[in-house]
Amino acid sequence: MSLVSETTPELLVVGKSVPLIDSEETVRGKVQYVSDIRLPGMLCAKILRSPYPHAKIIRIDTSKAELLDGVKAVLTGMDVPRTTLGEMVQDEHVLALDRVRYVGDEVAALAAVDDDTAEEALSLIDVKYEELPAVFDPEEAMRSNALLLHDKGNNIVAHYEIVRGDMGKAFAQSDYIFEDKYATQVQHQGYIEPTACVASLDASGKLTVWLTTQVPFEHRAVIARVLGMPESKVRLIQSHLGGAFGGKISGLPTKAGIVCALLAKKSGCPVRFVATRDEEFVASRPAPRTVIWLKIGVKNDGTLIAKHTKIVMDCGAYAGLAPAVLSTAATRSDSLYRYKNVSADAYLVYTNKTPCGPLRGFGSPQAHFAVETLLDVIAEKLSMDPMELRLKNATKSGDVSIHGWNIKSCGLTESIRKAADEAGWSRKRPLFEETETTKKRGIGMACVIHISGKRKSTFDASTAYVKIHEDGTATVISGEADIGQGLNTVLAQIAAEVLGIPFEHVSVLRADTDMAAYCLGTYASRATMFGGNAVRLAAENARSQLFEAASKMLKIDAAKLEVKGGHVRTRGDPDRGLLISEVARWSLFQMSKPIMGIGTYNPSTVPFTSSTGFYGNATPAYSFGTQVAEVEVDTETGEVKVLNYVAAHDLGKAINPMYAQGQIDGGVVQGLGFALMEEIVSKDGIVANPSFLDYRMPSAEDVPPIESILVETIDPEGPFGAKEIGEATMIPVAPAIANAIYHAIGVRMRELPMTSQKILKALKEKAHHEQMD
Amino acid sequence: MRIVLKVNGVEHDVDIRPHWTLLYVLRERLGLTATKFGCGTGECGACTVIADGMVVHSCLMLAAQAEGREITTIEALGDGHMLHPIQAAFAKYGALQCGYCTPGMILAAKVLLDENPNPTEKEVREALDGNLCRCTGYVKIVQAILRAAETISERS
Repeated sequence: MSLVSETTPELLVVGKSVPLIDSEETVRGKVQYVSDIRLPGMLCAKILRSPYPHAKIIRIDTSKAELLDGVKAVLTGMDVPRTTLGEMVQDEHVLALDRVRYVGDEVAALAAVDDDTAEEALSLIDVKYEELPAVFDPEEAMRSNALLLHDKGNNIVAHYEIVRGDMGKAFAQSDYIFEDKYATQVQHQGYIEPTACVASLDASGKLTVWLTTQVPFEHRAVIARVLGMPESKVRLIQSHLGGAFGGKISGLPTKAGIVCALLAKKSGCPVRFVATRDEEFVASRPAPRTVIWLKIGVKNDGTLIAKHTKIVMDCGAYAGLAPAVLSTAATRSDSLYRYKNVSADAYLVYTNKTPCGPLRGFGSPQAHFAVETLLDVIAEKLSMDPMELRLKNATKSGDVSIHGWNIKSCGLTESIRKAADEAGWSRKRPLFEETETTKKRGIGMACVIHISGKRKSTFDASTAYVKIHEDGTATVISGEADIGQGLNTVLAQIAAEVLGIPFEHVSVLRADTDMAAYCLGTYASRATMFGGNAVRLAAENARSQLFEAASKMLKIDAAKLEVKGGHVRTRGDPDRGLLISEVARWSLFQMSKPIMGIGTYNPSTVPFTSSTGFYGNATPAYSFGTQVAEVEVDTETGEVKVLNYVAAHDLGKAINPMYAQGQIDGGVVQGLGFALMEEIVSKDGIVANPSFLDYRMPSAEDVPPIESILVETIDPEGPFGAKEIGEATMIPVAPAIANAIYHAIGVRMRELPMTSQKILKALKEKAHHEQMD
Repeated sequence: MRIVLKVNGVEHDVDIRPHWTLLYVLRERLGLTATKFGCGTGECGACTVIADGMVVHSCLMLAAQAEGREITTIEALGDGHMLHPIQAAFAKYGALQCGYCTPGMILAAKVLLDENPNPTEKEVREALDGNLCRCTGYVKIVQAILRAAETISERS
């Protein structure tokens, strides 16, 4: 699997900061997103949602809506297949059957000739509800006498108990034990493009669906299953996607896809659905509110001995992918340091609120906030520099972590040193402690570990095709979805490098289930590792087909051939070569063999789930990073200003450095929002701030200078050594800032977001305690 | 009601309902889908157009209010062959990822540079206050606009 010993010693396309493959069309506004699609006779769909957090549906009367001129199809839970849905726990239906479980739960759907008619028709659907008592607090919902949301004995969606080592002995052997409680808020992914779907049935009964999806094949499967159609009769095409960050895998896009398909079938017309921003805040799947009790045992010299985590995660009304968010929060950060004993007791609990799901980091931002903050508490007690404490315990290349992860490439130590160096850590730490003004400065650090893939039961692979056209250009066909991060550009760079052709000569089809091989899709930071490796292998396969033809044309052994500059030529004899187009044409017309490469990447990882006891090498590679935040806290207003930010990330190899930096920039700013300002606030099950006005995301004025450092450890598994860079960048931000705040004002923030009100309150409490002493 | 809208230099006779926004008419009646719907309440800036030289969130302007104004959408920038320097800078310096905020960002940048050809970084950030981006962290957007300002200055 060695990729560094490719024939070309110097990389010509991989490692270059090329613009996005479709950047010209994008800046002209000419790329097509789902909501830009216009089909003749297309109808507009809208969804009626429950106004109550918990209620029985007594009766639904759609007659007035159906009679409104321009309404073409109306559906309720009784009209649609009663298929149970749910990626991990089957606890939902397309539309509510007899009960609604959160404000926003889908009750009915309709399609009309335009938005205005659909809106009016929605208001004519008469639903008689009988309100039920509701539960909003997960700790209350966990109790044995709590009211139940679903037909199971309790409200505990998932409970994971994991033990590695001897916890009793380990804590007994610790010189110090530290314990603390942390809480993180409900954060929305905040993609600017709302969820959208267009579904259209053709005359043969084949359904084509365009959907804002990270997982085209998964959505094809669920739509086919609900409609009772063979999967090949459903074609799912992924348009340009306006951001996702984990929010376009389950929940709203799944409901939108199924609803549009059902309405298209009932009306006989194409149907379009575009979510309102309100719907996004109320009925998509934001990151869950999480409470973590963390206990770490440590030796005098700073060696971390034992770690116990108790988690209560607020699921909301339906499970979706939240169990995976919980298991990630319960285990993933454990492999960052060389713990010998860890345990977790993690609960996911139903409440009558918006169901929660994956958001960049997938449970890791929550866990790292707790761990990286407590580590600083430990450092202070032991009079150790927080950097030294992390260096002492850092995971290293060659380690097998506590959960059986094989750590091959590991740039953790390097990232700590580089980030600290760039940020002026050693110089600034003591300096800031001396400031006397009302605006106090601090500097804080946090580290991260992340994965590059996640095995879904028995399947964890990717297959791609690379077609060589007779004009010598190539087209990449992959089912791994570009969600706006630049995946298709990276795939094109990889193909161009392997084939020895210019980047501009490679095109990439958008994921289309009719053409691509089955792929899991873009999540768990798997796209470059899996999609990239599959494309690399497919391009190598295509290249070998070129060599087969060229060897006949040149009468030379194929083993002596190479590709360079759009030519196939003999190694060491640059003057004797053939244009790739000539070879492709000869292969087609003389050998009757058009050139189509196929490649499958199938690493030997194991499922990391409750059924395997959460043990084993979960993904082909692991990424690491360190971030350092420099803040200024105004002690009179509680406002935090981030002055400088450094992020050093081990990504294996930057296939496109400019766009790798783009992931750091975007991840840090999204992390800033998580740390300081974002929260979906709900009271009695009603979202109080379902708009960008009150759900405050960082604007251009909120962003500090960000210095990004790409640490290249050249991973043996990754394509050209590349690992992930999409998620780790968001994860250390909150603890880095929290640690910097402590350094500035001596106040330990344990709850996110760290708003100015909370900081002022904490400062007042600190002053009060100091007075009492 | 019938109104006449002048968009990108072309006059359109449109039959509208009074409550329709300019964004709705652009996207659903005039086939100009490059201006995006992001929130519908004037906070994200994805719907940014230029109206009489000023940045306007088209989701907050009624179509009827747009009558009599010169409306410019992203489709008017550059020509068939060449990109506008701001567009070219965005592409070259990695200022776009998913591209959804991009048309709005570019138009906001154009209005800024038309009024203030040599802005400071702070002024660029202020000008982008009404445009949200979730992908880029604004870093390369700001860099691209500053570079575009240099290019435009050099040319004139």
